[in-house]
Amino acid sequence: MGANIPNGIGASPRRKEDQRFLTGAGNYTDDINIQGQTYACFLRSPHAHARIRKIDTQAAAAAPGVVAIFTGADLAEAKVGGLPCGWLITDVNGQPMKEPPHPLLAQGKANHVGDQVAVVIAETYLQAKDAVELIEVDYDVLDAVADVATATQPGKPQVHDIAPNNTCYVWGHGDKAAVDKAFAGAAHVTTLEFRNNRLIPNAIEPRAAVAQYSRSEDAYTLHVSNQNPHVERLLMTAFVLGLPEHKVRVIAPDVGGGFGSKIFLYAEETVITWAAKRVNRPIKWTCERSESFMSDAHGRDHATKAELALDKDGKFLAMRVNTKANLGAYLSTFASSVPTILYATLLAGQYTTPAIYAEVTGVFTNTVPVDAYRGAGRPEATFVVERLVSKAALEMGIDQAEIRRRNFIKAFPYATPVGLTYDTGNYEATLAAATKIADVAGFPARREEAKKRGKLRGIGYSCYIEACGLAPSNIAGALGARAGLFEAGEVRVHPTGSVTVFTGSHSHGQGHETTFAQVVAERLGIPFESVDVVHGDTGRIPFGMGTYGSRSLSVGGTAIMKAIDKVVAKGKKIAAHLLEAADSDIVFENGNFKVAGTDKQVAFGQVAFAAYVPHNYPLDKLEPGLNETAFYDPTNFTYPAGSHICEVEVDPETGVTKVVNYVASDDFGNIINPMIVEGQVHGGLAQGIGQALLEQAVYDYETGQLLSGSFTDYAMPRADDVPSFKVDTQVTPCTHNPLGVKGCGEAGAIGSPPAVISAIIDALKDLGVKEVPMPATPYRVWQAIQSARA
Amino acid sequence: MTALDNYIAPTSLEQAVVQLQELGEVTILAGGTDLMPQSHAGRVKFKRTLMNIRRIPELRGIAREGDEIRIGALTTISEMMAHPLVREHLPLLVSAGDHFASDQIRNAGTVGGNICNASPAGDTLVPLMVLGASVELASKPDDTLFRRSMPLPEFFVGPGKTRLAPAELLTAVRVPIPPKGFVARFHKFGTRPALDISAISIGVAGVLKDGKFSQVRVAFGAVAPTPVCGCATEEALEGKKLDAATIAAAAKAAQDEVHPISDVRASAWYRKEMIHNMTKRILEDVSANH
Amino acid sequence: MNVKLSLKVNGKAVEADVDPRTLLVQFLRDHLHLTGTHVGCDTGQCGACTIHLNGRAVKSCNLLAVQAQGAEVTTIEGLAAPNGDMHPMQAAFKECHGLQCGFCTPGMVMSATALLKDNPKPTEEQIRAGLDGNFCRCTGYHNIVKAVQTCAGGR
Repeated sequence: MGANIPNGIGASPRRKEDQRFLTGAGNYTDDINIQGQTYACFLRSPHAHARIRKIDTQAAAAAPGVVAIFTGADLAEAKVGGLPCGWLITDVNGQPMKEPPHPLLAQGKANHVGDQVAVVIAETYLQAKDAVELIEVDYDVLDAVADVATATQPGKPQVHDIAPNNTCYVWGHGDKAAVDKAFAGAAHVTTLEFRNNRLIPNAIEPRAAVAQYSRSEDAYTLHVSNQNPHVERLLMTAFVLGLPEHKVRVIAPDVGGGFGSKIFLYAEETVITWAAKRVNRPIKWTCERSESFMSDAHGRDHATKAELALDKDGKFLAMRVNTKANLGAYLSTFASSVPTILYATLLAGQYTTPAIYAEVTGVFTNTVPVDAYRGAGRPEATFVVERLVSKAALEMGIDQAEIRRRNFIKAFPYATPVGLTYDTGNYEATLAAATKIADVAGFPARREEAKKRGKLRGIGYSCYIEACGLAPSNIAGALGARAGLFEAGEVRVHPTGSVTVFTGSHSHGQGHETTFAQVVAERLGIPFESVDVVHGDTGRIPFGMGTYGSRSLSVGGTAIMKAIDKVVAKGKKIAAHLLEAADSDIVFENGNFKVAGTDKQVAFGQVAFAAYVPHNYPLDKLEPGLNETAFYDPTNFTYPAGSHICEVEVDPETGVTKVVNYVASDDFGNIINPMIVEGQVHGGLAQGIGQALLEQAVYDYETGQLLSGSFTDYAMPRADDVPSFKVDTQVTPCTHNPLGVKGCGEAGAIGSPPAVISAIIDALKDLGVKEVPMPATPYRVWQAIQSARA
Repeated sequence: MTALDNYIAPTSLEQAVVQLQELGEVTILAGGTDLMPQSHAGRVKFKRTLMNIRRIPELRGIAREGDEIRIGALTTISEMMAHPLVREHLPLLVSAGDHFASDQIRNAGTVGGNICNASPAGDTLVPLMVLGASVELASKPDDTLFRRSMPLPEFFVGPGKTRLAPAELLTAVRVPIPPKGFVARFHKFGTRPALDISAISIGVAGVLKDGKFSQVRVAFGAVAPTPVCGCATEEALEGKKLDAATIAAAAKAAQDEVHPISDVRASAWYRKEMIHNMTKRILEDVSANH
Repeated sequence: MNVKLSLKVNGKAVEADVDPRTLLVQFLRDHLHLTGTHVGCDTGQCGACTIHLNGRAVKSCNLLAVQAQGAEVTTIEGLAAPNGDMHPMQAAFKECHGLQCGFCTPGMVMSATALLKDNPKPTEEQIRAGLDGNFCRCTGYHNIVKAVQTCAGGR
């Protein structure tokens, strides 16, 4: 592939969306104001676990400006349903997972700090907020359970009656017998026990929604900060509110970051959509950051024990993984699939490990629901695999790169023992590139130099794989998905030859308006400037499954490609008519329809014009117009993979760790816009380094109170916490989509945490440190040093 | 948040203290950088009157008055850091200012506000304490304007609590011009370089003459309900040569005399260890560079 | 009770009656409809609401509108030239891909321009320290730093 036109595939045109974002003209949900709008503010439970005896709204209702107050009782009376979970997991005994009700407003019991108990709608936001303080709730505070590692033990407080021992499911994956047998004969077993820390996504734009109801049309419009408006609409109408889908339009305008947290259907926007008709006024709700901390779905929070069996040469024989995954108080939209389907299937990593078995317990606790966060299951799997490999290498005295090379998958397609078939890859290539760029050869000298400054320098590796482009609907369905995982695209050619593309993918920072336009411009041979991309509106786009799991280009982009194919096919017929040639003799090249082997041709624009002004047109055979829609359901996942090498320096007197060098060599298949791809990698790396060094949602395990409930206590990576990155790409094109693309959005967050942690352990290995927990805060690194010395 | 009865923006100190005396229930607004988030979180409720003191000229400016430098209460951290008198005589306040939150907060937050908030982790407090600063307070209980001053350490009572009387306004902080041979260091150790409420901070100051350290002042932030003096550490250093033994003894004294808490950010044990290591590092730096 | 407020915003004189509790950012967004200034937190940490008050970067969520009495305020909407040409910092952010979702961008650009005003040739370390009052969750800061360097170099 190469650019046939300026700003085509492989070029890095600057982004179309930047003009509005840079001049303050972005249109985020909170920027939208509708005549007559009211404001919603939610009363949230201050307790992690409490029975609600009585809610007295009298004083609040009398407060100035209050329009309405609703509680769980009002919703129950109106027969409003609860929030659904989109993925059914079947447990080891063949039983479906336990699905407790997930009410929009608490029904008799609050199950986490921040659980919605009531909503006040008032003329101004301050009035709504003031009135919320006047609602009196009589709580019977119950004992809480928050620690995933112990929540399933007998005698613990029970979050839901239908889920004994707080167990949603115990799910097994892989060949247990084969694994047990391999372990029995292993020369070496490496064991790892750790927590994958709980994270809060913290998109900088807080969630927000504006709901309105039109009496004249008996229809709703919801603006919401969301990654997949069609899915939002489908779930909200069909499963919760019982509204006709065609009577609800969901618009996700400019969205200020998602990282997974805006995939899900949340209570707040659902409540205000319902209430907009009740009060017959538009309602706006914007989450305050302090509320985000206790209401946006969190990420990760695993307690894992993992073992790797090796032969005497360091060949991997088998892997055994046992994970307890915190699901929080309720099942969020995709919560059940993240620690199962998106996790255990990735445990082969880049290696030929022949036998793998994973058992995952999904655990309810009195904490905010946990769901997909950048990487979703794959960072957790990568951490297991890469930390096991690094630890095994250290224990067996094998070089970190060498042990990986000995076990790399080298022949493709490759069927893993955990259910995936990798279509292509070249793991040696990314490792070699990363090794070179990181100047691994010069590391010993750098370590010595650091020592002279009193700093301990270490190097860490991570060779990750991910499964992206979620993915064949039939396979997902067999695995429990309750939705399809295709994508839709419409290519609307205008009479003058310019094009509007309507995509079901949603951009909230990924730059689709630019990348997709590059693809269309290249394929149709028209200027990049002549292509506009529209997304995020159920009223304008045929359908969509949205953006998550690095799927937009590989699935959404392919849907557009398929629509372009249809445009070209129809264009050929029109051109054949105009050129008085047979349909089969027409070829489409560089924006021109040509009669093969002649110089006879018509430009794309002329064909478009003919389609809409069909004066000379095969009306007997062909409809006018040039506007095609396609749906694309992929045949496999895509498998981006790469090698990351991290160098850190630790101050042994304080435990402060600084990432001093970070190299990522990734294989994302073909690349449409290298500038955007690099940007995606940078962002993922900062989040992964954030997980490794800084970020942690801390709960008091006794009370269930969230202790890190603001940016003061939850350490987000800032500009001076991360280095400049060195990123590189190697290319093995994906074999099963026409663009040959794999996806790049999550790689940084997936690959980096084990590289950072392994680098710290490498720095401290001479002190006897074998493990360092995430996040490796100065305090914890210091603790690790002290306990190794003791 | 309840509605205000009254908003006033006095244009002289006299006017302000008279109104304070008359109205009683007043929230003072200076830079707002702490008041806004605190009130938003419900930790501070606006009182019936909001008094914006930003138009009072007597609270502004930095000037030399005799052997002291007077820093007006409304001076922003940025203004303080940029002022020639501060840069010449009190460079410790410049380097400490670098640790103070972020640029945007330094541009709005005031010295007086930082002192009146009386946070145990307040970023100007430890440096001002080791510089021997005192606060200047004004009120008008009767017909005459009453002024008093108080050494900074005495001013703090607890987190957010000071000896400021209800009808009193903090007008300035006064810092003595340091003598010849004066050295001072400030170190803030948080889980990150900036903006977070500091885990711990240490200030050390004194006069180095003929290799001996005297007139020593040591203060610690975020290890007690208020910023505190490190009396035992001072004692371990006073009149001594800054050799390895003295430094070790001082670091040990520092570690022993602080009583930090354990919280989300760090444990008490770790904080004590860090006080030890940082005190040592600071003193070694002083010793090596003088 | 309301207070009469007069100030200059993006070069234009503005007069308004506001509740004295109104935050400056609310005043800009709700009263003046300058929605380019964003709110990303309620603790003064994220920096999305950064504007210039009398030429200095401040967080407009941390100030009451009354504190801007008589002041000159510049928001992201006032940064470009009157003919619409982007400010060199805006252009550098675009050129270097220093933004993704765009939400932190206005605050980041306002901080970055103030940073170069104080220090026209900052080192990478100074840029990173100077921007530590602004969160970005998308870019990993790499290209933001590059944008500031590019802008500084282009002067």
